Parts: sequence; C-alpha cells; structure tokens
Amino acid sequence: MADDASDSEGLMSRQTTGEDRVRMTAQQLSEPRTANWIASEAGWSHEPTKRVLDRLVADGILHRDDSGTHTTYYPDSRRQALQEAMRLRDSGHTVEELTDRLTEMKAQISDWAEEFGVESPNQLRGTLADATLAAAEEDRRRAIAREWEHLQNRIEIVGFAIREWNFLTPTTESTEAHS
Amino acid sequence: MSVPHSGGNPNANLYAQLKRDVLDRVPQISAVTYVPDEIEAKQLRATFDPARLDPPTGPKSPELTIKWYRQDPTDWIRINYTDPNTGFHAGWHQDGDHPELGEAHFQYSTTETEDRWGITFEHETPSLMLWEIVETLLADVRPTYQYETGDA
Repeated sequence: MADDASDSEGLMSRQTTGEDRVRMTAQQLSEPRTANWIASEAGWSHEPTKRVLDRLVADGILHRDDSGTHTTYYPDSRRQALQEAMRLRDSGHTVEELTDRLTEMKAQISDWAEEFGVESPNQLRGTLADATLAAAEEDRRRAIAREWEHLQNRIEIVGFAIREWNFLTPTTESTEAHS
Repeated sequence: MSVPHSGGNPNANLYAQLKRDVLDRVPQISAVTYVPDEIEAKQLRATFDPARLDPPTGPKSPELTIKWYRQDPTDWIRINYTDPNTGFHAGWHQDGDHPELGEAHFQYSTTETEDRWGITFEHETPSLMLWEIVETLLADVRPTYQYETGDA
C-alpha cells in the first residue's frame, strides 16, 4: 500500500511464487492485459510470466488475443463459474439443501421487488432520484441493490449446480470432499 | 474494454480464489469460512490464532471479514479486522462512504481513539490487494495502532 508507514515485511513474497502471482493476476483480470502488465502486477520477470500465461492458455484457463498491436490475455469466466458450481457440488451439502437455499434467495429478491415496486437492482438505484428520501434510506437502498446483484449471481451458480447435480458427481463417488 | 463473460459475474469464484491465494497461506490464520454459508457466500471470515500473533493480544481469536463485490469501474470492498480481546477495529474500505478521502480509505478505532485516512493500493488484482492488506495489518497496523492511547 502506498502509505509511508506500511513497509510491510514481505509475507506475500515468502508465501507465494512468481508463478502463483501470475496465476492469481491472470484469473482476476477485469480487462484484457499484456504479458508486460501482468508481469509488473505480479512482480515477476517478463519471460517466465509469458511462459506461464501461454501454459494457462493451453490449459483453457485464459484466452489469448493476437488481433491487436499487442497480444493480450483474459480469463475464461465460464470456467470460473463451472469451478464454483463444482465446489458447491463437492461441499458436502445435499441437493435438497441447495434447493432450499435457492428458494430462500429467490424469496429475498421477491420481497425487495415487492417492497420497492421494482424488478431489478438498477431500477432500485433509479429510485434514489427521489428527493424526499432520507440519507439513511438512500444508503439502505444502495446496499440492497448490491446484495441483490450478488444474490442474482449466486442463484445462477446454485441453480446450475442443482440442474447438473448428477453430471457434476465427483468421479471418486465421494460427496464428502471439501475444496 | 472489459473482459468478455457469460452471465452476470466475470469472477464467479472470487471468494474461493481469495481463500486459496491468500488466506489459506497466512500462517497466523487458523480457519476460513463463508458467511452466511458457502451457498450464499456474501462474505469470507478468516479467524486468527491468537497464539501466533505478534505482538500478543489475548486468548480470544481476532477475525478478518472480507466483503468484495466486483464491479466497474472499481470494486466495492469492505475488509474489517476486529480483536475481541482489546476492542480494536481496523477497516480497509472502498465503498464510497468517504469520497473526501479518495477511492479507498483505512480506518481504525480503539477504546480510546479513532482515525481514518485515504489509501491507495499498489495492485489492482483482488488477491494481491488482499495480500497488501494482510501484510499491512500484521506488520504495521497491529503493532502501531492496537494499543495506541490517543496521543499520536
């Protein structure tokens, strides 16, 4: 952190390798980035960074775009969603438990939709234009809009895990595995 | 230009990544759980082993909670450390609550005093930002502010 007092003592550099940090960075990119950018962010040199990135492309974890002036890399979001569904499948919960929680999350969203007379988080944000709202109520609605979006994302993943429950059965037949 | 993705979430297993990339690798952290559970996964909670903390604090386990929502142009982040032994609290927030301090700010409070100021992160990758926070917490924030008596 760029803060005078924080001359941190390098826990990250002791607990991670350059390759670890390249993987971390590449999987969390919010826009396509060059190998140089990723190397700089990960604090590792260019050549080994590029080797790791190309391996991640070969493994289907990243996409590589050679169409521009510079080659860029970006993560495959489908794989991350699939990994999350697999993690839920392996988490020791039953399909009934996941279904119950899915129902609860959907009910929570229905309650918000009914309370505010809106159908989406952005419509709820739109109600902030109402000049009569107190500051505390504005904050509450902003927070609910964020939670709403998060729940929508979770509902997608949990719904997928439930629909594909049998397909996602671990090959070991063990449902006790924890990620 | 943002990363192309299907569905609403470009980073669907962010919490699993933060757990694996950072929290599971910190020797002072003894457990990491999802809040309220891993199905809804609103937050992560890391529990510290008080015996491994230097300077020592007391017999109860301090906790770090991580709430991280990815969004454009900047993520919404609240990371809070609480120590039940001393009542010490520290937070790293990028939540729009204190625009006068910039995009992100640090805040802390003890039983005697409190303060907050703007911060900038060296990284923009969530896992690497969380490493910055954990390092700062352990190497700087706890030793410097935890027992401050308000005369700083």
